[in-house]
Formats: sequence, C-alpha cells, structure tokens
Amino acid sequence: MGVHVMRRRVWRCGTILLAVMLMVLPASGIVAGPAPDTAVILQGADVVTLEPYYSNSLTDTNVIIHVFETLTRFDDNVNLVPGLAESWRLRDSRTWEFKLTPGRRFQNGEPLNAEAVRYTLMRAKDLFEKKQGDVQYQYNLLDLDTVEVVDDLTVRVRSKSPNPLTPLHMAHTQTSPMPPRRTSQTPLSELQRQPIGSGPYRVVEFVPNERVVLEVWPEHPSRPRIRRLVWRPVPETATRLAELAAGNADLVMNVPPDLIPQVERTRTARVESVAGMRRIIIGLRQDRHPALRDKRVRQALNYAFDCQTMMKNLLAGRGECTGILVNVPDQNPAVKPYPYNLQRAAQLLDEAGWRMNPRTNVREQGGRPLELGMDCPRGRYIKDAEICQVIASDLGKVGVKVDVQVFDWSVFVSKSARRGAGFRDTYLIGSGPGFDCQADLGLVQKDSGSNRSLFESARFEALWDEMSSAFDPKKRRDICFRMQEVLYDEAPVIFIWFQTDLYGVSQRLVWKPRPDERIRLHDARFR
Amino acid sequence: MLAYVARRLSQMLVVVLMVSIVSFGLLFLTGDPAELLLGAGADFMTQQQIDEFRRARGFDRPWLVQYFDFLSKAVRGDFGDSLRHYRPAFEVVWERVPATIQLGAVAFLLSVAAGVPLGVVSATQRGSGVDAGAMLFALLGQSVPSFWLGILLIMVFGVYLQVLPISGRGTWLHFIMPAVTLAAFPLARNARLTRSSVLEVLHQEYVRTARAKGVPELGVVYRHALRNALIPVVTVIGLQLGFLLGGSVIVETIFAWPGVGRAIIGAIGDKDYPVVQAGVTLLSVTFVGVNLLVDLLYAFLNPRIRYQ
Repeated sequence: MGVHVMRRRVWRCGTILLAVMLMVLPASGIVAGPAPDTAVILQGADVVTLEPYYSNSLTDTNVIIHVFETLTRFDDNVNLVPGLAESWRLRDSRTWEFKLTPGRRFQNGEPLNAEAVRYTLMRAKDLFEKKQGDVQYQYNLLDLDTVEVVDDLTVRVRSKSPNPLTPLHMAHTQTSPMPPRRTSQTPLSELQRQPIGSGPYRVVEFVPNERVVLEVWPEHPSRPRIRRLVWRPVPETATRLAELAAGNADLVMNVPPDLIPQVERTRTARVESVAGMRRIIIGLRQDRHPALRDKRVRQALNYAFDCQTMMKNLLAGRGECTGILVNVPDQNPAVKPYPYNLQRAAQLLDEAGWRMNPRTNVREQGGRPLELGMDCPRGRYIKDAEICQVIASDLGKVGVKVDVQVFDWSVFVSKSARRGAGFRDTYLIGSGPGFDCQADLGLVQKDSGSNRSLFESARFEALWDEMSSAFDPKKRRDICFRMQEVLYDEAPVIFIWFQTDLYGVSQRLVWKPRPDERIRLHDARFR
Repeated sequence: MLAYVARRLSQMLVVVLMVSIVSFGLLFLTGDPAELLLGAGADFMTQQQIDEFRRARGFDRPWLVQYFDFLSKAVRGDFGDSLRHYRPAFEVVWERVPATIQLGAVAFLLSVAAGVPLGVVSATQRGSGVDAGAMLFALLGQSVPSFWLGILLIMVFGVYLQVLPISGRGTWLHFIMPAVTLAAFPLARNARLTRSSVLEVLHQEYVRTARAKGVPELGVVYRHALRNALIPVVTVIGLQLGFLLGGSVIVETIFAWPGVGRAIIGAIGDKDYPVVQAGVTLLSVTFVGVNLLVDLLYAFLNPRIRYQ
C-alpha cells in the first residue's frame, strides 16, 4: 500500500470522525443547557464552606442564605422584617427579646426553638473568644453577653453595652440557628460541606471547587418554585458570559459595564442592574498633605469632579452620583450630589490660599505644590482604576496634580491595614453596607477602624454620641439625616457612587437583584 | 554516572531551597506578617490583640529561626492551616493535584501525538503546501497567547457551534478545549523541532543507504530517520511535562478547571498565604523533580551526556 493511499485513508477517517462528532454531540445532551427545573448560577470564586460561622465571603453567603435562616432578615428593599422570629422588643437598653415562629424544625427533624438559638449564639461567642471561625467582625459589633431561654419560643439576647442594633445583627448569617445535637456531634469538615439548616433548600451535593447542588426541602413553609439550584465557580468573566450566551447558565454576577451590549445582543440573556449598597469613595487622608485638612479644599475637589459625565461615558449610564455615605432606607433625600462647577472649585481653592502657578499649572501655597498621590485597586470594584484616572484628570483642570498608582487587590488590601497606614494622600476604596446609618458612618467616625482618612469633625461626633444612646427609630433617623447634612458640608471624601451591581440573567429566569449583593432565589421562577 | 546524579541532585536542592525562601518571604512582603494575615480585621482589634496574634503565630522570633521552622515543617508537608478553609493548607492544594495532572497529561499526549507526526510530515514534504501550512500552524501555536486562544475556542465551539462544554470538569468532552489551549505551545514547538531534526537526519548517509537498499519510504522515515531524529525532541518533550503541570494557571482560570493553579490564584485573592506557600512549593518541587527525572533518563539513554 503506497504512502499516498494510506494518507488519503487517514484524512478520510479523520473527516468522518469529526463530522460524526459534530452531529452527535449537540444531540447528546452533554452540552445542552440546564434542566427545566434547575437554575445554574455562576459565581466568580469557589464556595469554600457552608458553615455560616466559618465564612464571611459573598460566594459562600449566597448559598448559605438558601440553607439557613435568621431571626430577622432584610426584604428586597433592605427593610428589616421578621425571619424565624415573628416579633421582637426591647426589654431594657441591653436586652432584646425575640418570639420565634411556632412549629419550625431543622432539616434533620430537630426542633427549632429558643434552646437552638441560645446554643448557636453561645457557640459563636465561644468561637469568637477562642479566635476560631470567621466571626470576629460580627461578634465585635454584637457585643454579646448572654442568651437566656424564657420558654420554648422566647429567647432574650443580652449585650455587654446598650445596643440598639441587635435585631439588625440578627439578620446576619453568622447568627443563623443550627441544630444543637447534630452540630455538637459532627466534625467541622462535615458541617462545612453537609450543613443542616432550616431554610427552603438543602444541600444534596458538594463537590469542592466544582459545584454545590441544592434541592427544595419540601417541608419548608415557603415552597420555592425552582426545584434545584446549581452553584458553580467560574472565575473568568468572559467565560461566565459565554456560558450565559450559550444558554448553559441562568445567572452570572459582575457583568462589566462595557460588555452590557454584548450580553443584550444575545437572544438568551439580559442584564439586570440595581444600585448596590457598596459606597465607592476617594478617601482624603488628614495626616498627610496639609491641604486636605481644609474643608474648602475638600469641597473644591468634589466640585471639580465631573461625576455625571463619567457615569455616562465610563459606566454606561448604569449608576447615579451621590453626595452621601448612608445606604437605603436611611438616605436623606435633601442631600444631593455636588454639582460639577469648576469656577466654584477654583474660587474655594483660592480662598484656601492655594494659588495657581501659571508656569506649572499647579496650585501652590508657600512654595508647596498641591500634588496628591492617589492609590487605586484594579479589578476589585467596577472600573476602579479607570475612575481614578478620570478623577485625576478632572482635578488637574483646577490645578490639583494627582499621581495615580494602581495596585493588584492583594497588594492594595495590605496598604489598607492599620487604618490605611500604607496609603498615600488619597485612595479609592469601596465600603460594604453596615445595614444601619450609624454602622455606615463608621467610615468617618474618629474611633472607627474603617476611618482610614483619620477624619474628625466635632459637629459630626456630637451627633454620633447622640445617636449612640438613641433607641427610638424615628429619633435615630432624624439624627442620621442631620449627620448626612454635616458630612456633605465637611466633604470628608470625594463622593462617587453606590456601585451598581450588574447581573447577566437568562431570559427564562424571572428574578430581580437586591441592593445588598446577595443572590436570593427564594421567590425566583421560570417563565 | 553517580557523580552526575549527585551533581544534579545538589542543583535541585539549591533550586528548591531558593524557592522555599521566596515562598517563605511572601509573608514578609509588607513588613508585618501578622497584619498581612489579619488584613482589614486588624482594624477592629486593639494593638494588644494584634501582638497576641503575632506571638501566637511565632512572628516575634528572629527571621532566620522562623525560616528554619517553616522549612522543617514544609519538608513534612505542614504549611499551617488555610485561613479560609480551616484545614491544612497542603491538603487544600493536594486535593486539586489530580485535576492538574489529568489536564497536564492529556495536553502532554496531545502535544506529542500531534506535534511529532506534524513535524515528520512537514519535513518529508519540505517546501510543499502541507509544509507551509504545518509551519504556519506551528508559528501560530507558539505565538498566540493561551488566554486569547482559550476564549476564541470557547466562542467558536462553546457559544456558536455549541458542541463542547465551556467550563468545568465532568466528561471527556470537558478536556478538549483546555487541553488544546494548554497543548498549543508545546505542540507547535514539538512540530518545529521534529521537522528540523528529521530534515537533518534525512541527509545522513545511512538514510541514503536504506533508500538504496529499497526500503519503502515509510520505513525509511519512521524506522531509520525518526528514531535518530527523536533524541533532541525527547529531551524537550520531557522538560515540557514540568511546564504543563506548572504552567496551567491561566488555562485553569479560563476554563474554571479545579486545579492547583486556580487554587493559588484564589488563595492570592483571599490572602490565604499558607495555601499560596503550599501551592508554590508543590508546583516548583514538581517542576524541578520532573526535570531531574528527564535529565537522569536522558543520561541513561545517552551515556555521552554524563561527561559533559
């Protein structure tokens, strides 16, 4: 047999094999989309643990909220509503009493009663004191002292100091009741991968680093309409969007604004957006450049930043500028974003004694130029590095020279430690929601660890102290509104926006995003 | 031979020690490892609590003492507990090794099974359209970045034709796109190297003798020429094995392949330094170990190497 004949046969066999593969594979179901009763959700990172007290990551929490429930919870508009507790009341300044819904059980049949709540909270307190788990942040805020069982359905939670926010903290996944018998007798590794909660879904499969599969728990009173949820980690954005376009996924998170048209061009998916609760700001350090200690300079920086144009051109018009640091529902509607006004900015800088040097086009005072360093992460927040470049360019127009340095998040976050000791004069940072006005405003309170600018204002601190001893929700809101007015005037930061969260959603899925970044599918359904 | 083995082993030891210093040094990049590990959590702790944490982790001891402590534990596979997984860091990395080996092995087979014949065909038909096409293919394989090729394959076979799964692991079909992406570079290099090596051998006198004896062309090429032409190719192929096991970080990220590379990337994002240290050390020891094996094998097959 000649070489040519043999080569021809090889080519022919190869071609036939390829043709057969192309014909057979689409019909084989291997690359077919999700089953009709299954929603596939793609997240950017692995689900590591489903033990609520050992995780603080959003990827874990998104799954955890389907398996566990909390005494209180936030509804879709971030209002605090009953969860496992049907009511709660303040007994004294340190003690809150919660009444549980009767007849509830865990997925293994153990009763969900006051004792289960006491056991779980005290277990978490023990973890906190032993520096185990990931509960440091939550239990620092909760300041938990004791938990007392009054009767089978009544439990009293006592904090070490007066705490008006206890009901709010009870909406955190790190207060989710766990079944006492099972939890005390099961090794941690099993609790992490085969958790038993009281939520509407139970875990049926946990393949580490690959997928978590949840199925409806039929005994839950809420009866969700989607039977199975499959959570998969897909770290690369382009791959997540390809899965969505191919019809293999129903929900993907973090769609970049510049890829919105690409998603909307597909017939399989759409983009859903919501103004999130993550506040993106430029922090202005008070201990570095002397100009930033002057309120007029800080105001001028806000006037010089053309936020609206940036929203339109850089962020596809999918966001709104802001002049406040507090999340819904406590936002003061009277406080508007700083308008873009170069003349006013220049006037304020002149008044503050920073005069333009026509030779360098940079303002100076006593020979010291108004040059600021700006540290920015890349890829942590939407268009973070690009936003820094825009602001630097805008400030340059009024004679403020900004040197932008961009860092990978792992490096940037190290700079933020020790109250931002590693940052230069200014820095872009995002801050998640505190779910309460006072918690949100820790960002600029003098003793707060998250006040990386070391900002301090006597007017603001007086209101802060007043709020700390206020328990009446109406009074707290009134103080909160006044604090926002003070902060607008003080301009402790360059206000940017509440980051819009963008999700790619399959056309068959009926689902609305929430402002708190949680992917909650309890009420979702297929068309 | 023994002297050669001893020399290569000592070289390997030096490389591994250097890697261990880099791996250990990751924690000291910002000066204070305690605050690096605590991250934003340090903001909510008092200085006393931070000092306690520092003492509990042994960061208050001299640097050299800490390094030797790290080294003695690392040799036993003890890199401490993962800060996110709450179990041994080495275990977190080790459970991902099978996925990385599977993908690396398939890509390795593909790069050899396709690269070598492509090079032979190209050499035997030098100057023809087939040769030009094969070399163009090889040029592209060596110059196209893996992230670009990966996304391109996803768009064509995953989105438009919908004949292959886009990401994850499960069936043999899941291997195709990541393996092709990972194999593209070594496949192209094998093809080019085989081509030049075969071309060189085809001009040798023993090949002419074989032809003169009437050996069929296939026999000349595969039995006489290729065997001798493969010696340099085998060396390079061996070295590729280390590259395929350690160099799959980007491919694993694009295709959501649950391997060691993706674990390291995720751990960097989570500031889970024990996992990063365990992953970096494991990959480098694998790489160096495979290279050593190939060198020893080569020396065994070709005794002249030992004296060089």
